[in-house]
Amino acid sequence: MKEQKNKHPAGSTRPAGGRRPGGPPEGEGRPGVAGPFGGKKSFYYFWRILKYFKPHIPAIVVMMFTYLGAAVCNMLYPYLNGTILYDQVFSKNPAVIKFFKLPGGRFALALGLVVLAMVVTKLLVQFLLAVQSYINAKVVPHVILELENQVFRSMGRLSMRFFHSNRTGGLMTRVISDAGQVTGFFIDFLPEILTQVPALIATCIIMFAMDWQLALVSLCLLPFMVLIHLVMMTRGHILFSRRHRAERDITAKLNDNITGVRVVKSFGQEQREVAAFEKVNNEVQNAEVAITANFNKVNAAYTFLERAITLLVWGFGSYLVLHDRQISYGHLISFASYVTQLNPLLRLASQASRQWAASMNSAARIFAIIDAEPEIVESRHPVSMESVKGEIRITDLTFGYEPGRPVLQHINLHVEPGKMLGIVGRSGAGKTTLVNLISRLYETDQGSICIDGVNIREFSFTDLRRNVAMVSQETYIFMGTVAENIAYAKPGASKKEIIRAAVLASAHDFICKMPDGYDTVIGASGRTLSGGERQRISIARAILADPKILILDEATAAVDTETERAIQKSISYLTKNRTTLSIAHRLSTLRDADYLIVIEHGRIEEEGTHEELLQKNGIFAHLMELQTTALAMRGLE
Amino acid sequence: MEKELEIIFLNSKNTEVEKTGGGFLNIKTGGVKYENVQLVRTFPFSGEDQYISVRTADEEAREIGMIEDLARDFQGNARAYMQEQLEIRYFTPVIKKINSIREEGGSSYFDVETDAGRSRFVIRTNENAFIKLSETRVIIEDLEGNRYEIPDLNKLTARERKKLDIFL
Ligand SMILES: Nc1ncnc2c1ncn2[C@@H]1O[C@H](COP(=O)(O)OP(=O)(O)OP(=O)(O)O)[C@@H](O)[C@H]1O
Ligand SMILES: [Mg+2]
Repeated sequence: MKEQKNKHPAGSTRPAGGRRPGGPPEGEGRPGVAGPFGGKKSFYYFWRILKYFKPHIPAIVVMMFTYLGAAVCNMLYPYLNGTILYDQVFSKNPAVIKFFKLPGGRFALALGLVVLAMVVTKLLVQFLLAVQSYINAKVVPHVILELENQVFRSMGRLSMRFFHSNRTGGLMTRVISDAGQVTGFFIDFLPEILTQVPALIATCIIMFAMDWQLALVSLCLLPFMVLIHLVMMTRGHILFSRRHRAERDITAKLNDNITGVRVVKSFGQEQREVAAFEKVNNEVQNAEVAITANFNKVNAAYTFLERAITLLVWGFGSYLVLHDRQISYGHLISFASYVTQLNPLLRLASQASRQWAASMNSAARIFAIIDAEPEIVESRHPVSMESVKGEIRITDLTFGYEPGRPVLQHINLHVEPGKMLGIVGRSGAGKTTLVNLISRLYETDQGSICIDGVNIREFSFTDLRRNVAMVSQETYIFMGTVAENIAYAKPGASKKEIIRAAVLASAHDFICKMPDGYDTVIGASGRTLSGGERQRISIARAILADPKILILDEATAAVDTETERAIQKSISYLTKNRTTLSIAHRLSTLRDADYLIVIEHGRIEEEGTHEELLQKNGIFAHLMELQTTALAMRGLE
Repeated sequence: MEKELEIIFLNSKNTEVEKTGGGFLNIKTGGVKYENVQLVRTFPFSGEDQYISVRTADEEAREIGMIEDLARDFQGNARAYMQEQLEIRYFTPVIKKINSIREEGGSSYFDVETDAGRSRFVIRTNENAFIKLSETRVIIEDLEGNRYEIPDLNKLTARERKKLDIFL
């Protein structure tokens, strides 16, 4: 089953698509290469991600302006509020009247005007913030979706080798958060930094110029602000759990496709999987919009707390004003306002390096998948092979997962249509490898595999998948109902066909025992099935697919003897009128085989009928003897 | 083909149905009489009265046969008896109105009006107690395994939907 992957430690250390022709330079597409501020490569990813925002340029330009506008308003407000309002208007400075071109002495009017200007500035800032979050909530999910869909499409294209080589599970479950991380950085963070850094510097200069003592006091309070910020962020609990739920679904979908990539491919369902993925992805998108909205609320609360801090500055400031009149009252007001603005700016700056590193790391992982070149390409002009007889001929086949380490060598094999070939050999001999090559999950290095005299490279993917189906060591159950899982290779199969296939696969009875029968949701976050149950589902799947060539890789490995007997019956029905390649450790399973081959160290060491092999008194006879003795001993217990 | 791999379809021609005093069903088919048989919907959500598996009462619950379409293949009393059995077995109140949902310590307490009267039940907030049959049709399974159906989410008020939001 799944542990199978762990049996190949050599595979996991291989760099992505080591031998692919004409792909990006080695290492380019490898995950996790960008360190903190990871040099040139980080900038490369940076530019590449920027391209994803191209369709949203107008929105982003608007966004930049809102940031700029808000920054200017924010710089202006303290000035209006303190210096103008208090020091000029309240102290009845005639210069103000002159400035507004008002008739002499009309300070009340001047006051009105200043207050109006203040209110307008504040409202404008709020408005700009609203525009920002609106654009944000619109653009971000889009870009994320695009990135993820690209990742997914490229996963569908890739060969088995890629998935074995990249420890997919760990890498892929992060795709979602990676895309979010990257996009968030570009739309949330970057424009803000670009406009706010100058504002930050300006504010600091102004503050120190106004009063260095007060400036120091206000900076002392900054760590406290950061703390409050962190506490506030832990709220919004429920929304996050909703997103989490949606994300879990999507991760499950991804996982389904990763662990099941062999099945997705061998039944030719890449298209459908992409569509299914897009659907769950939309759900996350909705949750995401809600989160962004919530985030804005949190921000508002944060601003409120900031005001409380400002009071402290006020305390010290008032003391200064009252005791030595070093500064004026209006001055203090302006100052306090600048302090309020300083805090979010500093918070932003403190996050900059962390955000950059994290985002570029995420980008690296995403592009690792997008960039990986498909190793197996469909023939441009495939031979039309809609229905085949099922004759297989393998000529001088040599193959290895790594250069210089052949797993199979000089294999020659001929299977007549409708016959059953048994494949025997020790664990690791290369049996699974051989059948994977016939399904074209990997590309042969040397030699050829022909079906009905046509090289499988000349087949269109659809034709190949239609004619060759596999019940494999790894059973792929995706998130969906039992019926959907069985009808995997034949969407739209009728209920009757599905039940019939399940009955033939000895799966009907256990399915009926589940409370929701064929409507029971199974897979990642649904009901879990036992190994034997999964296997029977996959047999039902193959029965429904009705291929001309059937591959059984340890089809009865995960079941008890009684179930095996039932499955055996299903299999002997299934194998009628098809070419069957059956791999089994339990040799009794291969009783019905017309012909047997024994693979040892990647070569066919023995071949012939059951009787011939027994007479030869070689490896097969030896294995047979071992198993009979073992069985006999068990019988004695 | 092997006999075990064949599906036997039951209909009024090859099957007699009778109701016992205790409200159970006895069935006679292929010359054999089976007592207290169980009726199992193989597609309880997507095809309620199609493909019903008729099984023996014992632990093995062996399949006696299948009814492809109850409405088509049986008539009169036989059909009514079987429909009644199914109704009892698959009783699912339909939620008409959500009075309140209270979340406390990881559990959610539902107070709802159903077509079978007012009902209160508990689910675990973070487990998948909601089975989505389609975009709008939902089954809720409570901690005791009882089921409740919301046939159309869109028919709920906006406030009720909001209460359900975190579960969907
Ligand atoms: N993806 C892979 N990358 C690198 N090496 C691999 C990969 N898959 C298999 N191998 C190696 O190829 C050899 C043959 O493996 P294969 O899975 O074909 O054996 P098998 O005969 O099917 O064994 P079993 O009976 O245990 O299923 C083993 O040495 C294995 O380590
Ligand atoms: Mg194997």
